[in-house]
Amino acid sequence: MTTDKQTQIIAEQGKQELFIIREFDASREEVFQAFSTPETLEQFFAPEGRIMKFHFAELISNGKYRYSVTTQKGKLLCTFKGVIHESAAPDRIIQTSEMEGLPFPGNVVLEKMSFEALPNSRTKLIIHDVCLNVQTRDAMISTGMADGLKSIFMQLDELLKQK
Amino acid sequence: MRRDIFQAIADPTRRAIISLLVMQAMTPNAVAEKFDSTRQTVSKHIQILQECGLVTSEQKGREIYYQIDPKKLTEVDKWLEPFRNMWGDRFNRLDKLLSKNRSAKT
Repeated sequence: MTTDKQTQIIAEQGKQELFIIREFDASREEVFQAFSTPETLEQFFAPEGRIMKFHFAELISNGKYRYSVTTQKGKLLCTFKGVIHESAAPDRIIQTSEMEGLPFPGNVVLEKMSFEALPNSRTKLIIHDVCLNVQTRDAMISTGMADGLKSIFMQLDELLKQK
Repeated sequence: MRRDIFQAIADPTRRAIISLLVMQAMTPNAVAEKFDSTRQTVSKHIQILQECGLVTSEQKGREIYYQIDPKKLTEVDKWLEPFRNMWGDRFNRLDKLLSKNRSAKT
């Protein structure tokens, strides 16, 4: 893992939302296409050394998706699902996302991805995530620290069980 | 095992305990009263916070007071860093895919 200066995360303390902002050296049609094509997403979205596979992916307006992330050996790490509220090429994708199997179910995230055209055929991607509460927002950020998204919760469960 | 500060703040109850103790040093009972969970559960959380060094305890008279070690809290300020790196890695892979697509077209 390298420290990434190009990616900007805005997550103010005590808020339910967070922003992920990044510029790409490609047109917004191309970037939009990448986020709307399951085969492409499978190639870049999973954490390093992990495998992402869609169970189903209708990445269109009123569509739905469900995917799992596993280790190379096929051990299940986490499963996410959601519906696509709107897919408006090449401008925006509005969707929901929820991680399955959490100790606190029902904490769905609303996500808007905006693709803004910049000069020289560059694109600014703004991902705006809104959670139902601050705890979920913070947990989402915390899981980014762990190797794999669910492992931190599993580790904690183990730790608490040992006590 | 050595506890990691990020494990400590991954749990919502522990984050709530941290935010309480940031305001003032508190006794175990005073902390437990703020939560619906049992005293035992709360004290387990405090124990984890102590093991990673985020919370220290001090005996004042007959009571033990828990407090936050402010030096450790600055480590928590860096908590966004791994999340940013996770997305950064993701985007770097996308960069490569996008440039591959482009060179395939031309």
